[in-house]
Amino acid sequence: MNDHIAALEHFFDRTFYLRSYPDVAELRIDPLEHYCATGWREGRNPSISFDTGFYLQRNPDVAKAGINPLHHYVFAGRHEGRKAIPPLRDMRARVQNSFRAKLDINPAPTIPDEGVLSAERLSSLLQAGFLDGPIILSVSHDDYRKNVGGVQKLISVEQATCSELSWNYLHLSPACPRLGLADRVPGLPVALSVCLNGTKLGNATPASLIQALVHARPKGHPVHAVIHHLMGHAPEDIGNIIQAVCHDRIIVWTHDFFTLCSSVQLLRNDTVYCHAPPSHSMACGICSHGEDRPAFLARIEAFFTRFTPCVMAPSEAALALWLKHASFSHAVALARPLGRLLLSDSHIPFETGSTGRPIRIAFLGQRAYPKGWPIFQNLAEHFQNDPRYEFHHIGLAHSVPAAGHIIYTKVNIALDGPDAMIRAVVARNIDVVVNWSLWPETFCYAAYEALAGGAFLLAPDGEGNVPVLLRRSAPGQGLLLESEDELVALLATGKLSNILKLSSRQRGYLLAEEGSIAWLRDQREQEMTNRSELLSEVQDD
Amino acid sequence: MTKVRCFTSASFSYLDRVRVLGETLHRHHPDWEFTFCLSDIEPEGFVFNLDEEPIDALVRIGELGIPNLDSWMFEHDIVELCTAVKGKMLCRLLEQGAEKIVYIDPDIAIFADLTDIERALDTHNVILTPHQLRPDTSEIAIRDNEIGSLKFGIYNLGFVAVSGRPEGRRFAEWWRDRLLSFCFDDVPNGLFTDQKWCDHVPAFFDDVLILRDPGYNVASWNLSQRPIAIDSNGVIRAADSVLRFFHFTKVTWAGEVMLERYCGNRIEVFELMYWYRDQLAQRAPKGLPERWWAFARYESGNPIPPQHRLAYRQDGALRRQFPHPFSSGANSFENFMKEREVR
Repeated sequence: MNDHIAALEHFFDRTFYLRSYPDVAELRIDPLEHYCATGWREGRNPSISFDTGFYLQRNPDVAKAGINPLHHYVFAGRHEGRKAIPPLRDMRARVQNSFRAKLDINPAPTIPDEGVLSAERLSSLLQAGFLDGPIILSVSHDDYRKNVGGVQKLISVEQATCSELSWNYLHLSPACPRLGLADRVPGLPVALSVCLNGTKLGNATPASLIQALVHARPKGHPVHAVIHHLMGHAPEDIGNIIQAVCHDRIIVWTHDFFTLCSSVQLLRNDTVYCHAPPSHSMACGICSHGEDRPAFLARIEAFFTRFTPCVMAPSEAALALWLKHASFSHAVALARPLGRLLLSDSHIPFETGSTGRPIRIAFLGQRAYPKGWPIFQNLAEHFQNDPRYEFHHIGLAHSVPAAGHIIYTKVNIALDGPDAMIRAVVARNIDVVVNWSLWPETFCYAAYEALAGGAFLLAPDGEGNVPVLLRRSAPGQGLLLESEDELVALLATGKLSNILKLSSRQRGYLLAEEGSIAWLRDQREQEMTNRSELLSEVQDD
Repeated sequence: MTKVRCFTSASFSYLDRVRVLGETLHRHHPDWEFTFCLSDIEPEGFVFNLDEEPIDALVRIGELGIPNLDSWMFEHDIVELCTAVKGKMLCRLLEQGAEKIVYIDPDIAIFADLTDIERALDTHNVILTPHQLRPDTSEIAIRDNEIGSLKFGIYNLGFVAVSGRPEGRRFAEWWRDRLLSFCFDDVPNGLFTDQKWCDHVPAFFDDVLILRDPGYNVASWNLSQRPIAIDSNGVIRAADSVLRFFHFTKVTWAGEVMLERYCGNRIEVFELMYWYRDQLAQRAPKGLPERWWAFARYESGNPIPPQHRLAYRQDGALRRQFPHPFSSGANSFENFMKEREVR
């Protein structure tokens, strides 16, 4: 390797390069030499902190001269104030993708490749699968058995609870999942994927499903509808199904803010928290979700007006936000946390400082923008060469590139178990978790898992469940900050180390709650008690 | 209330922008009549149907009554021509009895109510928006913005509002006359199309309003002093004033360079830019050839080089010799220039 190439070593992230370009890894050659020989000409990036294409576009003199852009940056460009990456890179990419996605979405329903079941076939499948008990008609945006997330986790818990009670759990999701609501197109029904007690029966049109359900449902038992999510559905179709078979309780969950806007996290242009302004606001006027929002809200409102459902939110904070912004008809609104944090009484001191090892700072979960992955990545880049800190990611990468010095531990709760994240936080002896969600989280498993794993939580103050969780459940095990600048300052000044020395960790457990089923069961028991009391009163009379 | 007559000026290549302007203007002022002054001709196979456009009226360059039109048009490139007609168009509306006229550039989108402009025309004859309202402090911003305005004009003529009173008419006629003779991009000689002329306006005319509200005519050249922010009620502001209209001067990556420089590390101005690009993409005219302009070529189909226009503009004898300079063939200006270049 010649001296010039060697001088670039400090600006080249071998781990990043090999992870990002597996074809180079297969060549088994030195990645830096590869970048200098051909990589930059192929538009590859030497690290997360240098954008080859951007540098060449913004510096036509370099492009024209045919110079290795990283070499130019290291020896000249950075001293001349030339930029290595676009300012506000992640946010700008998000906004652009948001508009691109809007153009790409075809609102018309898609016919599933595997076709749909006839009403007769579906009816016989339902009859064969139904237990002699109540039915929970559960609706969400995707197949909860295949996808990972808070909603899917809760639906799995609900299905298990139903199984214990010998209740039926009939789950409907769009056969072809999509963002927003599905348009209603005459002659082109929105096909539904039908899953009974954990087994997929097939796809069906709403009309076939109604016909089959009316015929096959166990008689003499109630049907309750639990709407976890309406994304990808035509709410009118779901309403018709409910109306045909459901004469009992109807619950609508607000796991996120889909009932307020198709931007489920209330991120304007999928990027900045918007506080759910009125749909005619200027902000909605420049948002990729804004143009369709009035029609979207009208359809959601019509659904609520039709059923006046019981509304459930996964936290008090989420419920308060929903009540503040939604004016839809509802019978009752309840906060039903998805889990409860149980912390042990014993305190374990943080080792850092006394042992001299770096403070281990982690990001938990998926490398997703709304979860604050770019904030964590920027922090890790800022303190890359600071021996006081070590950066970890525990969760799923989902092909999102990361700086090579961030130590990655793959955890998939769907495969590794519901407490796998907590175990990983303990096993890696994580000191601090940065939970910098860019929207008001309605629950946030990662924050609970961080605390249960004994980590000190750093999060932005504001709306949503995380600040409430920290204040109420573990005030000594975290800090709510005003800004990213404050976060950076906490590390730069070394104040974080002092705070950790003064605090002590509690480890614990996240106890899963039973979702809507426990509530429905309790309501049913209460009703039966009331009925028998009424009966005995009548008899006494 | 007096009806406001609003107009813009462009060729077909800016039809996407005209559509966005028309739609955003009508959203806030459905009562304003919006006229499109068109310096272009449809290419074969392209149909421009006014009934399907957010435009109330169309005036073609040929309807403006400009003497020796072919010759006059030939002197101008696309930007010069689309600005040179503004004075004529303004006078035409005044002659039709308009009492309040607002000109808005096609690359502007309206974000909020403009009633204050309408009201201000009750007491003022001309309303202008300066490129900058506050001095810059950094050297690069001074060079980009303040020195830029010294070269190209203090006021941005992407917007001008004029009353139908005599003093408003006096301004319109003076501007029209200057633009008919001197609407060129010739900064070394003190000219920049229709814009630099208006540096004279506050001195030449009475009751000129220099609009100092930072919500009007926000653009890359004043972003350094007008940070864009969006509050929790969804109100978009520029330097704490409600954003009235934004001037999207360049929508390519080159335009983003200036936004990067003056965005103040805030995303909002990029949101505006990407929203605007999305609007343009949705409203791109179908079937219009790339970079179409009917007056870009000789009849032969050959592009007209800038130096041909310049030679024609600078030489009165050539203008007299070739009153129809777009023609091709024997005894044409095109042939004359070719032969001159060979010599």
